[in-house]
Order: sequence, then structure tokens, then C-alpha cells
Amino acid sequence: MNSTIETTLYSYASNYLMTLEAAIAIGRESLEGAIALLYSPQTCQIAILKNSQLTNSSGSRILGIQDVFEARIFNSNCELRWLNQTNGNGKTVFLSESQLSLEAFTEKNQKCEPLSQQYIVWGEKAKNQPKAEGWQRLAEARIGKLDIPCEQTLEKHQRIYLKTKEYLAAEDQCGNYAVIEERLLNMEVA
Amino acid sequence: MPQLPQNLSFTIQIKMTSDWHVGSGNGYGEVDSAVQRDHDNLPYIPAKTLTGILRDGCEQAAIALDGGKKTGQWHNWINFIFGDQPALAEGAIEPAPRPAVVSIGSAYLDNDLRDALKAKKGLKEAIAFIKPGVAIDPKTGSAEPQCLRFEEVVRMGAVLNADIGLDFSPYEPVDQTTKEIVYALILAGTKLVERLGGKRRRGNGNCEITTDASRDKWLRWFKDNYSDIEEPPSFNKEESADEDNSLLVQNPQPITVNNTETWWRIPLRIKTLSPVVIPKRTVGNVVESLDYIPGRYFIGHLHRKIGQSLDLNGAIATNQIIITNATVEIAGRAGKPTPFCLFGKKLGGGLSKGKSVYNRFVEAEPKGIQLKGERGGYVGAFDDEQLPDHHSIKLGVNTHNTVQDEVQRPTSDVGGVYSYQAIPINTIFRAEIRIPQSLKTELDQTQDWQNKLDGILRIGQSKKDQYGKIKISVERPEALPTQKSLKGNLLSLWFLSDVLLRDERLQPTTDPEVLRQVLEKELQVTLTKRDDDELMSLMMRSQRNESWQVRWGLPRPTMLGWQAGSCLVYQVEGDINPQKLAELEAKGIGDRRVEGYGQISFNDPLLTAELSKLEREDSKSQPDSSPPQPIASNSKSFEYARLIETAAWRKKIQDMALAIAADPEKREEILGLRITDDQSHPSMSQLGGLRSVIRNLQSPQDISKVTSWFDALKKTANRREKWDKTDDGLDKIRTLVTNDQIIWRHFSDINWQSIKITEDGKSSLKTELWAEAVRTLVDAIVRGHKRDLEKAQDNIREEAA
Repeated sequence: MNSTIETTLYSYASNYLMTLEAAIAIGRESLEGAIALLYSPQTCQIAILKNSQLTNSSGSRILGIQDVFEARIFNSNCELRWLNQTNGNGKTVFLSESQLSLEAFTEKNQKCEPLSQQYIVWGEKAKNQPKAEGWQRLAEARIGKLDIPCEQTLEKHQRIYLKTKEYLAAEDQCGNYAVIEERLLNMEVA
Repeated sequence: MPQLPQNLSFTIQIKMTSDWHVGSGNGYGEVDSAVQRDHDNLPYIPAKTLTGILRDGCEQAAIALDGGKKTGQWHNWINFIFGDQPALAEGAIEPAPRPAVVSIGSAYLDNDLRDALKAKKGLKEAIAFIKPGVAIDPKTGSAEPQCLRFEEVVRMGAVLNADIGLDFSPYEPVDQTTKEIVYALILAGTKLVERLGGKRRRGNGNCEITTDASRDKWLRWFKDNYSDIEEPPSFNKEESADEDNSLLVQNPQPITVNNTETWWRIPLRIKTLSPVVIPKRTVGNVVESLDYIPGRYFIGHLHRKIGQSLDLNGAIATNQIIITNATVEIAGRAGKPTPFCLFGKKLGGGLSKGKSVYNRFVEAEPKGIQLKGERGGYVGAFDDEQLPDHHSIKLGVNTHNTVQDEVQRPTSDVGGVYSYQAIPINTIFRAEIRIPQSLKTELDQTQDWQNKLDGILRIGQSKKDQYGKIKISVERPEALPTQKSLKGNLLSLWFLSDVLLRDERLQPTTDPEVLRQVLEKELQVTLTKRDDDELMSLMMRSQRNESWQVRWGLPRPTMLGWQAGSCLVYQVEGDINPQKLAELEAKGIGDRRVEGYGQISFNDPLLTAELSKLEREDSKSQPDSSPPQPIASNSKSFEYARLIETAAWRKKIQDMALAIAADPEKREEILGLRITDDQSHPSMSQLGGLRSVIRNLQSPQDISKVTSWFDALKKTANRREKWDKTDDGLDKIRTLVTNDQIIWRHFSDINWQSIKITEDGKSSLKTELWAEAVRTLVDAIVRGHKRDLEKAQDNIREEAA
């Protein structure tokens, strides 16, 4: 156990279905500079949210956002989850350790214990780098290139990690201590 | 200019000109290394071995064309044909690995020979033999201790056929010249393959690959044109994605959802034409396979076949199409995953035994009987009269390796040895596509749209070579029931596939409370867990599923949910709409229903009936199929079949000779030999002479060499006298070697029919092996006699002492 500091995890679930664009617009202040994982049938794209726009490693705006079936947009402050449920409208959830002001969302807060975690991202530093600033290009023979948003400079032999936070609390019924939630935070060179 | 083969597919023949060993990676009994055998337990050359060896042959050609270098334009062509090898790559490689354009099937023995061998166990064994080997100490040049080993080796002379296909779809459009270069280069590779399999530098595995008669013409064309050829087409998957910069090429149009319309099921029958690996998870160097085919594997096929007639993307996005998982066929329908509420008597009971099964949702735990939960396998339809059929798929395991070129053996640097678990060939599955009436009406405007779904496709892992070939047949659509009644106030629920639900924070969950809330919302009733101390009411297990998204070129998020077979019972407060129950059964619940997740069944009779008093009658055994026809002398397999048959005869003769030689009465009956006290009749020196002279009997023409020995013996009194106390030994032996029928009378207990596969095999082999049979029998009898004589002499010596 790394830490015994208690925190409050605030979660907000939308009371009605909305488009991903609408969800991003609602959380734009908290999500500025966030990393977006956008899943669609054709591609899994990684983007950065700046000035309410999702851009890729070429610096181009992501098109076809209405075809995303699931999205996770996160920074160290907040995570937005969105799941398409009917014709581009989906349920939206915000998670944060600080209270957000969101109308038409059901708020739930829970005392829990945070635990930092990290996952190594596939690929080593590639020879070529992406056009846009704030991105690092990783490569791995099995998958090819993978552009990852990361402000830090990546040296050869260094790896990029996905930083996350797990939240532990006693479960309601049996009292077992368990991971009740996990929030994505950032991509960092470790 | 020679013509390319039709449909860019062709067959190669591999003739093994020496004994060969393509190892299975394990051994049995005293055999350290067994040969790889197929589903009929016959030796074959796995596609992975053949692909590797053909690539090696083509690389030899590329090295020559690139001026002896290990990189260059022609090596790029090899990578274009056979695909990149990420396992061998070093450093951060930016381009995504190129797929292969060639697919190579496993090489099997000729069908006539296979059919003939399949029915004869004795012959299947005779196709290979055990070869001893030993490691030599390089310092001393002598055998190293503890290094004796036995390897199974297949007899030389086998001719195997393999299918090869070319598929340029990842590179379309491809010009005609590219196709011709690829074909010519592969033919050049086949010409350069001389050996394959294990110990190929020590004489094993010599082979000749032949293709169609035009190979030489193609090689001449290649020779004349190769200097004008440029680099192969580039793989531009990434470039096209960058240019497009959108997440989906075709935007789905909103579809009007009508919840009251009739749903239709379109049954699919799926037969595996090769082993199929549906990756479940990778543990170390073993890829485990599922025992079913998830519905998502058919989505691409549907796009290709009916994508023109229907906005499939829109249907998928709005859950207006469901493709159920393909599970093993039981009595013409898809098997259902065994519900976890069934328990079998631990000793002598259970679904597999067809008796003593308890449904713990309606039956209390019996006193004094230990129960065990039924896990795995699939059950058929239940009729209230007997226990349902229960089938499990026995997954096979094949071991492969990645060979490092420099050392020409598998090493851990390049992946080493790995194993694939696989669904066996000829397994039949059942699945169904479900669509609402509105989609069916749209589809019906296209004539014969169901028939378009028939076909062969490749799915799962390693599908370019020996795995993943399946055949889909489509049957007539049937309307699904629109009503499902509820008897009483209990609602039982059975998960027919894994079910994925999310909690209020959109996190995948396996909390039963979330399921209850979802169902309450759908059915507009209050559901409570049944409270009964005697009975179980909830049997659920969680399951996670990992997989690879081919289109993304990345793994997709882990699927966490409830395992198929989970079941539970609710107490219902309120009235359930029968239409809603039927609709949920048709459409399922939770995420990814189009891929086969979320299939449920309400109040299935199997979950609501008492089972402990029921049994299952064993289904009648299948009638024996007619025996295969013997292989005709004009068949191309005749020569090899006769070789195997001969080996089987030799084995039978040796076994029978040893059995006869162990019996003193038979020794006396056949050769007249006797043992009196510690004396041999005739003397051992005479028998030594007999053995020497019998060795000269190599064919019927050699009979005179033996009879002249008898004549000389009879003329010499002191030699003749040594046979006086035998049971007419001299005459018996003379008759044995002069009458060609006597030996076969002694071997009359052998069932020759069980090892007969060639036309006229019995009479021909009787002639061919007559001398060998006589030698074998005489030699075995003399040895047996000597052993018993030594025992008798030992006994007398001990008594005297």
C-alpha cells in the first residue's frame, strides 16, 4: 500500500443522453489539455483536447466524431467517459477528486483511498517525430508507429507510461476492501 | 508468356525422397520425439513448416538476385510475398507489419491413401518407424552417456499435396506484372527446396517439390525479365488513414427503431475445415482458444456479402442486427452453455454420464450424496423426459517454432517454441443472425441474399496458414416467437453468452444489483432475489476476454462481464409483458450484442425442472461406414501404399514368429525340435548350421541352396544321427522351404485383411515375403529353442549343486 491518505471521489452521471461533442462542451473547463481515447469501428485514435477541439498528432482536427462509440477523455484533474447508446447519443460520466458544477447530472461522492498506478505504453522512441508539438512517436515492429501525447522529451531507452489512480474502499455489502474505481490521469516519461 | 493459375490458387506436390521427421514437439512411451500427425492420426507437413521452408527457398533465390547480399530489392519482394516478421525485427520499426499475400495450406497425403489408411490402425502405425540415435562427444568421438534417444521417422516415398493461394486484397489495385513476379518467385522457391523437417542435414527430409508443368517456362520468363523489375508495391494502410483523418468512412444513417416488430432468425451452420484458433488468452508461449466462435468474427463476412444491400453500419450502431456466438451443434441446433445451477453426483453421475443430475434451483441438496458443479460443455434442447445431450469440444494443441536463420534452429531470441490450442477440424457449430422485420424486408429486395452468405472464410489466429478455415451454410429464415409467457411469479434467467453491463459510472461491472436494475427497467416490474434456504438462486461467474482489433492494429479494451452459463432466479412483483420477454430474448441485454454478447433465455425448462430422477439414453452408435476400396495398381499412391503395407506385413510376421517360437509344442510341430533333460535335438551346432543356411534363402530361387545342405547332411552319418531324436525334423524343414504354402498356414492366425490396402496386396506380398517369412520363423524358433535349452541346463546344474 503506497498511501493511506483519504480522498473523496466525485462522480457525475448525466440524466439524459447527449452527443460526445455536447459532453466535451459541458466539461471544457476541467478538460482543457486532456488526452482523448476515441474508439470507433474503424480506428482507435488518440487526440488532445485544446480549445474545445480534438486534434491528432498531425495537428489536424479529428473529423467524424459522431461515429465514436466510446470515449475516455482525461487529464490529471478530471476524466470524461462517454458511451454511445442510441444514434450518437450516449451517457456521460465525469470523475474527479474535486467538486464540479454540472447541471442535469446526478452527483455521487465517495470517501476512498487513492493508489497511484502506471502502465507501460507499447513501443520505443521512433526515429521520426510527429508534426504537432507535445506529441511523441513510439514504434514497435508488431504494431508499427503509435503517436502519444506527452509534453516531456523522450530519450532513447526511456519509455512512456500511462499514469492512473485506483480508488480503494470497503464494499457496501460484505465489507471487503476493493478497487471501486480507476481514473486515467496522464501520459508521462518515467 | 505463361498463364497465371485460375483464381491465383494452385497445388504443389512434395515427394519425400528420404525418411522424414516433422516433429510434434513431444514424445510418447519410449519415443522421445514423435512426428506431427493430423486429425486422422496420419503424418503431414504443417502449413507453418511448409511456409517457413518455402520462404527459405525464396530467400535463397533473393540472395542470388541481390548479388549475395542479405538485404535488397528482392528481399523486399520476399517480405511482400510472405509478410514482415515482427518477431525477428530489431529496434523501433515504424511501418506496421505487412500482411502476407501468399497463404499456404498444410500438406497431406493423397485422399485415396488417407481413406485407406484411416480404416486400418495397423497400417497407420506402419507408416512410421522408430529410429534410435545417440549424441557423439566431439572430443572423444564416442557416444555420450545418457544420450540414447528414439525418434519416430516417416517412411520415404510419401507424396503430399498442399494448396497455395495468392490474395492481393491488402494491396489492391495490383497490376498483372506484380502477380506474375510473385508467382514466378514462389515457383523459383519451390525449385530450391531440397530438404525439410528435423535432422535434414543428416539425411532426413530430402524432398522434391513439383508444381504444374509450366514451372520451367515461368523460370525462363523470370530469367529474361528480372533485371527490369522494380520494388514491390508499398503497404500504405497508415497513409490512407492519415489522409482520411476520419474515424469512420461511411456514416451510418439513423434507423427508425420499432420495438414491436417481429424478429427473424437466420440459422448458420459452420463447419471447421482446418483447426481454428480463437484466441482466449496467451499464457507464456501457449495461446489458449475459446471453444466457440464469437459472433464478431462474422461481421466482416456480412459486410462483404450483404453490405451492398443493407446499411450494416447503421444496423450495428442501433442494435438492429444480432449475430450470436457459434456454439457446437447438438441435434441440429446451437448447444447452450451448461447452466451453473446443475450439479452432478460426484461419483458416477453428471451430464456426461447421463444420470444423477440435480437442478439446485428447484431441488434441495440431497443428503448423503456429494455433488459437483457441472462446468464446461454445452447442452442440447431439454424435453422434460430425459436429460439433455451434453457435448464438449476437445481442443487440440499443436506446437510450432520460429527458426533463427543463422543457427537454423528455434531460439528464444526469435520466439522459440510456442503452442496453439485449437478447435479440431470437422467440428460443426451453429449460430444465427437476428434481424427485425424492417431489415428483412429491405434485404428481401435482393434476390437470394441468404445464399450470398454461404461460403468459405478464414478466421482467428494464424489464419493465413494452417488455421482458421471454416465453411458457412445458411438456412431459411424463421420468425422468432413474439410472446414469452411467465408461469407463476418466478423468473429464471440463463446467460447463453457472456453478458457485459456497465455501472452508473460506465465502468464494466459484475455486480448482480446492476443486472437487477437493468431488468427491472426493461420489464417494468420489481424483481427480488428469491429467499429460500434450501435452494440456490444465483450462480454467476465473472469472465474477462482479451482480443485483438485487426482493423485498429491494436489490442482492444478488455471485455469484463458475466460468464455464459451463469443463471439466477428472481421473485417477480407485478405483471410482465410477454412481448417484452420475447423481445429481450431476441435482442439480448448489455453491450456489444451485435457481436454475440448479452444473449439470455428466460424460464428455460432446463432451469425450472427437477432433473434428479431423469436419465439419458445413449444415442445409438453410428452404423459402420463401408470399407474403403483397395488402392488400384494404377493409382499414384499405389507404390507408397504397398511400401506401408509391406512394412505392416513384416511387423505381423515378426510378432507372430516370436509368439510361435515361445511355445515348445509349436517348435516341435514346425521344425521337430526337442529338448530332453539338458540335451538339444538336434544339437545346437546343427541348428547353428541351419540358421546359416536359411540366411541364404532370399527368394524362391534360393531353395536349392537349402535343399543341397539337407542332401549333404543326409549323406554324412555322424551329422544325420544328430537329427534322429527330433520329430522328423529334417523332413519338416525341407517341406517348409520347398512348399510355399506351409509357412502361411503357420501364420494363419494373422488377420491380413486388417492391413490390406492395395489391390492384389495379399497374393503379391505372399510371394514377395515368402523367403523372409521362412527365415524369420526359423530364426525365431531356433532362438526360442536355445533360450529354453539354456534354462533347462541351468535347472539341472542347480539341482546337481
